[in-house]
Amino acid sequence: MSQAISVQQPGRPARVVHDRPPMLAVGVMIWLGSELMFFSGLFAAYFTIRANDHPWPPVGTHLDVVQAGIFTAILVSSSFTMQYAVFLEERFDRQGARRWIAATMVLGFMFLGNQFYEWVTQTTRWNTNAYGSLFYIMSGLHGLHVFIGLVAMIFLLGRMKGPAGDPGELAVFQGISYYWHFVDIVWIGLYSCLFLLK
Amino acid sequence: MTVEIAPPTSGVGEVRPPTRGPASRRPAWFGQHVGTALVGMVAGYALGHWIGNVIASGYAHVQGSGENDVAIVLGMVLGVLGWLAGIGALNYPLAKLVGRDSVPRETTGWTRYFRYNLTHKVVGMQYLIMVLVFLFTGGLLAMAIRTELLSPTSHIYGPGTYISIVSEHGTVMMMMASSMVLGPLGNYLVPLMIGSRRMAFPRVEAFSFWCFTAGYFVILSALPLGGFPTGWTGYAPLQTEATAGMDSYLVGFLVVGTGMVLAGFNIVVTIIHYRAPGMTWGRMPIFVWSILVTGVLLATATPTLAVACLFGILDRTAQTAFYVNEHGGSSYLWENLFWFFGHPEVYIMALPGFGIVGEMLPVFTRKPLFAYKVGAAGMVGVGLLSYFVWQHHLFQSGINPDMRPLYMLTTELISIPTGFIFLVGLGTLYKAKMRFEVPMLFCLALYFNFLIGGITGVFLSDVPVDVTVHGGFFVLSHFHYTIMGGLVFAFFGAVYYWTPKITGKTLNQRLGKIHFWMMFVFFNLTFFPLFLVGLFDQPRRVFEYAKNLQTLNDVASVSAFLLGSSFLVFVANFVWSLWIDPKRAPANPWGSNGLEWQTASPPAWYNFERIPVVLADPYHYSEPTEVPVADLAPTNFADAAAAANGGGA
Repeated sequence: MSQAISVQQPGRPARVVHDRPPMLAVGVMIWLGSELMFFSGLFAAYFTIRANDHPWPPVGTHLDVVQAGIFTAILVSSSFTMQYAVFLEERFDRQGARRWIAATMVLGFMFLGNQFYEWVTQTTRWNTNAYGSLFYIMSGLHGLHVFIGLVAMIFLLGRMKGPAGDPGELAVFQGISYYWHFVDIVWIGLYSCLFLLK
Repeated sequence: MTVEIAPPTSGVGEVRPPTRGPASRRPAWFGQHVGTALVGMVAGYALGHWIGNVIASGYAHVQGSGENDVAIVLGMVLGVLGWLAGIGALNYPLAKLVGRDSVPRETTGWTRYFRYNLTHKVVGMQYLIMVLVFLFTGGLLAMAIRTELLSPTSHIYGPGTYISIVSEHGTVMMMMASSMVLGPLGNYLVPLMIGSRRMAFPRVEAFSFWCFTAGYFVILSALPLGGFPTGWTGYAPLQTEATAGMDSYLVGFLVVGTGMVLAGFNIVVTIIHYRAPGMTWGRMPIFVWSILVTGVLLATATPTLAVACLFGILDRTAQTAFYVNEHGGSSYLWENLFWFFGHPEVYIMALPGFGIVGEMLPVFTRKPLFAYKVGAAGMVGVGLLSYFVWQHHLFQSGINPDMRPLYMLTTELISIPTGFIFLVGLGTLYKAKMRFEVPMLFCLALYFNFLIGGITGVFLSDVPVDVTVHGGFFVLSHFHYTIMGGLVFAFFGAVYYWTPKITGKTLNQRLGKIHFWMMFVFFNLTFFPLFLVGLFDQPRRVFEYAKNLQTLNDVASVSAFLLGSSFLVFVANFVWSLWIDPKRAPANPWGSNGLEWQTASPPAWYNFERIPVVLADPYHYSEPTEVPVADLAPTNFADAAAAANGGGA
C-alpha cells in the first residue's frame, strides 16, 4: 500500500492521505452494506408490526424517553471522540489517539450500562407483546454491535502497544471509525422508532 | 496499487509457500481436521442440549409439550461452534485475544482438503466437492418424491413423511447446492481471472466454507428430528407451530446465511481490490462481472434472511411474538422478509450460469463476445431490479390488491436486462462456426431451457395467470427450468470446461457427451409434462393427485429416474478420468484467451510467477492480428502498469 503525504497545515506533522483506499477500508464499507440490510430487516419488522398493532406502543408500556435521549447524546458524542482519534493518528500522534480511543470506550460502556439498566427495569418483557419483542431484539442486536465495536477497540489498543511503524494500524483505526459511526447513526433511527414515534 | 511484483521465491504477502505436510514429524491424523470437527460438533450439541434442559425444562410451555426447543436450538448452535472450533477456525481470533500470532501451516498432499486451509484454490476444491455432495443429496430426495408420485392412490410414505422429504429437497437444493455455486467457481477462478495471487480475506473465505458445511449437517438433522412441514419457504404461522424439525431449518438457514454473507463480501472486495494492473472494469471477463453482482446480492440480501430466522427461533424458544398474530405480531412479516431475501436469491442462482455461458461461448465460436458492455449492464440491471419484485410471490397471500400491478410491472421489467444477456449469447452465436464440444453443448442447453423457464416466468408475473396456477406444478416446473435448466447445466458445463485447468487432466469427452444427452433429454421429459400437470391443477407438496393425471406423472417420474442416473455417468467419468485412468490435458485445451489459461495447469501455489499486466479483454478471437491478453513477464513493471491503466496507475 503506497501512501502519499500532503502538507496541509504548516507547523504540524503532515497528514497521511491514501491515494487509494486501503483494502480494509473497502472491506469495512462492503461489510457495512450487509449490516445496513440487516438493520433494515429490523426496521421493516418494526413498521410491519406497528401497522397491525393498535394502540402503539401498547397500553402498559413505560418508557423513559429523556433518560434514553441523554444516553443517545452520549453515544453520538462518542462518534466525535472516535473521529478525533483518527485525525490524531493520521498526524502520527499515537499517544493522543490512544487517549481519545479510551474516551470513546468510556462513552460506549456508559451507553451499554444504561441499556442494561433499561433491560432490567423495563416492565414490558419480550414475551409480553410484539412491541416488547421488538424492543428487546432491536436494542439487543444494536447493543451487541456496540459491544463488538468496543472489543475491536480493545484489540486495537493491544496492537498499539507495539512499536510505531505498524503499516496496518491507520487502516484499522479508519475501519473501526467507519463501523462506529454506522452503529451510532443506526441508534438514532432505533431510538426514534422505539421511543419517539407514537 | 496493492501489487506484489517480486517473483515468488519466498512468501509473498500473505500467500505462503506450502511446507511439507506434518507427516514428517507427526502422524497425519494428528492435529485439526474433519474428524476433530465432528467430535467438537457432537460435544457441542451434547453440552448445548444439557444447558437448554437445565434452563428451560421448568418453563410452562415446555412442560407437557414433549419437546424442548430451547435445548435443541442451543444444542445446534453450540454444535456449530464446536465444529468450527474443532476444525481450527477459532484458533486465530483466540490466539490474537491472548496476544499471540497463530499462523496455520499450509500443507501439501490430499490431507489438506480435510483441514482448515487458507489457500483459495484449496477452498475452491473443497467447495466443488461439497456442492456436488449437496446436489446429489437433494437429487436423491427428488428421486424419493417422484417414487411416491408414481401412483395417485397407493402410497409409500404418509403425508407427513412426504412433505418432510419435499421440504428437505427444496432446502438442500436452494440454500446449499445452487446458491453457493459462487463457492467453487468464484473462489477458485476469480483470482486467476483477475490476475491475483489470493483472495482478499483468506480467513473469511475458509470460515465461510466451514460454516456452510456445518449448515449442511444442521439442515439434515431435520430428518431424524421429524422433518418440517413448510417446504423450503418456511411460512409462518405453521413455522411457529411445527415440531422440532423446524429448529433445524431455522438454525440451518442462519448458519448457511452467515456463510453466504461472508463469501459474497469476500469476493466483492477481492474483485474491487486485487485486479492486476490493466484489468480495468471494461476488460474484466463477463464471468467475473456475474460473480461480482452475485457477491453483492449475497452480501446485501442474505442479512434480511438472518433477521427473519432469528425472529423465528426466538418465537419458538423465548416466546416472543414476532409472527404471532394474537399477540400483536404478524405472520405476514416472515413472508415479506423471506421473499425480500428469496427473490435476489433466485438471481444469485441465475447470474453465475449466465456468466459461465458468456465466458465459454466466444471460445467455442471463435468470435468476440457480442455486446460485452450490454451484457455486463444486463447483469447489473438484473441485480438491481431483483430487490423490487419480491411481492410477486405474495399475489395470493394477502397483498393489498392495489399493489399487485406495481409488482407485476417491476417483474416484467426484469425481463429486459435478462433479454440483454440473451442478446449477448445469440449475437455471439450468429453466423458462428461452432465447435460442439461438451461444455458448448451445456451452454446451448442453457439457452434452450432458460428460454422456456423465462417465458413461463413472464406468464407467471401476470396477476391473472398467477392467481390461476399459483401453488401448483406449473410454478414448480417454471423454477426448475430456470434453476436446474439454467444454473445446473451451466455448472456442469463449467466443470467439464475448467477441470483441465484445475487438475491438469481432461474428463472423458465421450462419457461427457453421454452424460449431457441423458441429462438434457430426460430433464425436459421430466419437467415439460409437469407444466401440463400444473395446468390441470395438481397442487405442489401434496402426495395424492387426480387419477387422470397418472400417465403424465409417470412419464415425469420415469424420466426423473433416468435423469438421476445421468449423474452416475458423470460421477463415473469424474472418478475414471481423474484417478483411475488420468490423461494429461494440454496446457490450453480449448484455445481460450482467458487470463486463467495463461498460467500452468494446475496453477502453482503463487498462480502467476509475476503479476501480469493486462493489455486487452479476453475475447479477441478471429482478428487478423491477435492482441496478447496480458504481458506475463513485464520487464519494467511500473511503466507497463501505468501504460496499461491508461496513464494513471
